[in-house]
Amino acid sequence: MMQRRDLLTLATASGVLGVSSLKDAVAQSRAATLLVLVEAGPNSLDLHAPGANRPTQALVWTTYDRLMGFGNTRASEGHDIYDYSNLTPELAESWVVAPDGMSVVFTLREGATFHSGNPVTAEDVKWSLDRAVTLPGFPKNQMASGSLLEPRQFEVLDARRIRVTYLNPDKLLMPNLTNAIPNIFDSKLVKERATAADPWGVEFTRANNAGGGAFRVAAWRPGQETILERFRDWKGGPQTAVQRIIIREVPSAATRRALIERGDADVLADLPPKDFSELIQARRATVYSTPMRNAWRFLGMNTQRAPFNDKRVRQAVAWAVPYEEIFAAALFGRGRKLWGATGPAETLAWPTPSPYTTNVDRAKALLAEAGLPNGFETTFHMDISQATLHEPIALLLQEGLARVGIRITIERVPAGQLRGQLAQKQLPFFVEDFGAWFDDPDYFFFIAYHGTNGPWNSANYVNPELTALIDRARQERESAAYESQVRRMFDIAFEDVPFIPLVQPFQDVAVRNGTTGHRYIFHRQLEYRFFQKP
Amino acid sequence: MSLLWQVAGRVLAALPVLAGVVVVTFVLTRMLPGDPAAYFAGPSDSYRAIEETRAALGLDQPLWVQFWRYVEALARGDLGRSFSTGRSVTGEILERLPASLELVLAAMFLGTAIAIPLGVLAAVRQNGLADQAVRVITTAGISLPAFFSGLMLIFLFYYLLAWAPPPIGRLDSYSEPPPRVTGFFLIDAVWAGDWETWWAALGQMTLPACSLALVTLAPIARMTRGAMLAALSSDFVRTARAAGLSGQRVLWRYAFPNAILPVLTTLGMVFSYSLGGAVLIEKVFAWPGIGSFALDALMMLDYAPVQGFVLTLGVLYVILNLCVDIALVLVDPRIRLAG
Repeated sequence: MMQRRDLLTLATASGVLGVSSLKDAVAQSRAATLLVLVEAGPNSLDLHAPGANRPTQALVWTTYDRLMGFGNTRASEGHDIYDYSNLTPELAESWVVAPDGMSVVFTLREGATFHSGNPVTAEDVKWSLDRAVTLPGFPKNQMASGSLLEPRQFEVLDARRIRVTYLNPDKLLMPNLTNAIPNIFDSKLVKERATAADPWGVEFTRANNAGGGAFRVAAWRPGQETILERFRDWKGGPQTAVQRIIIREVPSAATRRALIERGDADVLADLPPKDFSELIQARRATVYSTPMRNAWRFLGMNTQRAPFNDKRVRQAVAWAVPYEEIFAAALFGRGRKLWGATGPAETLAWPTPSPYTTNVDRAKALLAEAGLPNGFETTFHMDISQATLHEPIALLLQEGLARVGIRITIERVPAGQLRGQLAQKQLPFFVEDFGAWFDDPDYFFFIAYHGTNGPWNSANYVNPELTALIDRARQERESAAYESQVRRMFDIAFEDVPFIPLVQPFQDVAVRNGTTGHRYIFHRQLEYRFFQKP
Repeated sequence: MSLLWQVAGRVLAALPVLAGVVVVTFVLTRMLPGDPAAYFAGPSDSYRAIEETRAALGLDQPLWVQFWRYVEALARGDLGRSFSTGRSVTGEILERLPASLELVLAAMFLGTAIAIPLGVLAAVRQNGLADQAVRVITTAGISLPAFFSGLMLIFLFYYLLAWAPPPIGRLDSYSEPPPRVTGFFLIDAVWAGDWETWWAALGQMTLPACSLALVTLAPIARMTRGAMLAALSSDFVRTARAAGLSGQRVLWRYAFPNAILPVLTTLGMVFSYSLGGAVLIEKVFAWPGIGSFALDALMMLDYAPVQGFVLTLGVLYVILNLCVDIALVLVDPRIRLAG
């Protein structure tokens, strides 16, 4: 079947490549097109727009450049994974940190342009970073986590050089110039579309790409598909192997699986664990599995609400969870077990297994100690949209906790409702997933366990000792001291157990046999730029 | 009173209903538990971010201000903007409604074309083999969830036999939609003279339309059967038979037109139901219809698309009921349109 769009690209392609027949040209065009199936696609073309969803992170990572990127290393699982400790040039060809460590000067690549053809200048970089620290919501708060707070921290030295100044020796400053927020915008283009009410042109950028990344947006139909075309003049890295990426939204997991097994799709990431475990056995597609860095699936309890305000009750629950059953029957083994540690954590990598196992007697003893020998009743909340995963967890948990007299009523609620109620600490007991962008354990603890009690501290947990430790670790430069601080954090987390870790989920990615180039990246969405078709 | 006046009267009578829909959907969406600002603040780690997001979404305003802004925009035909994509809900619904309508119409066409002859056959051969077969088919159609039959069709015709194209929406990934005239791909492709796209679109539509037709088939066939039985046992049919008219002539000339009235009403109901209720089929076949649009929005507490969807369906129901009633008047002059 020949279509207009194919013909258009082919008209040029066949001219260049000297393709003899149209049929060959169609085959070539398809060979250079990567078809990716997702459950839901980006709801915005700009991660700075309010409400931009997780798939938007993968999109802007592909369509925009940053000053720096992450290097690449081999995961123990055998495929590529980003290297958090190694920042590599992207738009900046080099950078020099001042001797006092309180500023850094970036030099931009020569000849880099945006998709529009406008040259990339230090002015664009300043405008973009100013925007990131100014726009409310996610951008400003993410930048703030690296002590990037004010536009005066970004200073243009000349057309190709810009200085970034530290306000304090925050080790997260550089990673915060290397994530999916500090994208470099074509400021000339955006300024033309900005209005008095919208000085940063967000209304324009949420519907239009204004970057210079490896791919440009050729079409965007939210809820249906996003089509990306290779940017031929990309300077941020080596020329990409595929010419076009079609990100097609197929909501049904069964349909997505049928498509990859039949070889009608090249890449897919979101499937329930059961499907991945079957795909691996059937070998009809290649599956890459990576335990997600700094991410977990956990049970949370509201530590300021009876009966969970008693540490012994929380410990009793942690001893009563039927871990093995949940791991086998709900998660199909797709993850790393986070329970049953017999000694101290092997490394400082978080999450690490807790000392808990399923031990009904210990749970009963703790409940009796807490004055609840007959258990208690409570409600347990889960996200409907995650039902394939969280429903079996909830049911197995219900059964397991009943053995110690804890009777739970399962409430299935929409995602929007769950997140709102969790942020307002209204729920007693729940299952949730959480992951942090950066590998540092203290960064995870800052978001989930810190005494400022932010929206992601859904256990409503405040412990002054832990809070002080987290604050100290952020600025700590002595590695021995840092290690003892982090280990103490782990101990407190397991002793007070506001969150009961279940599993460190795998990022499972299935590719059609022969397709290569998958790379695990910090945002846990797909890294689109390195895929290659056979 | 002429038909035209009666129609005008009905339209006027529908206005309070639609106004009610506007108020009720606004209130109901706001009564949903949860906080869209917390959801759309995304992975931010502070309450400041949630409050800033709330202000950006306009949700920091008092409810009556939000309602006034909504009604004011509505008066201009603007259904508001999605929190999620920032796009106009009017535009999204106009883009997606034809996809839903095209699918439902195709399914209704298919379902009716099979169900009415089946129903007539079952009535003529009451309690015979044909009747039993129809009973089995309709029971299966009612009891099999549509998404399940959809998945079975995919498994059989796409996965195992490879007769059907990839179930990936209205067109395969490598095709462009035809230039938009009506938004119905089958019509627009003809308009553009693009038969390749026409066949491709038809191929994509076959499985989802069949799954949906299975659902619509059952009530239509049952209703046809019942109505035909009633008509066949009525006095005028007995008289016609006694007068020596042929069996076929009695069946199609006298019994069938009398049986068609309740069937028409059923058709209207099935159509309305399918339009909003096809959401599971839309999900299974990645069909970009309004049902999945509204469901996704509901899960995210994205108010404007939910309100827009309910209002659109309200308007469609009013139009559809009117059309069915007019059809009834045309078929049976004894019936009059009442206000």
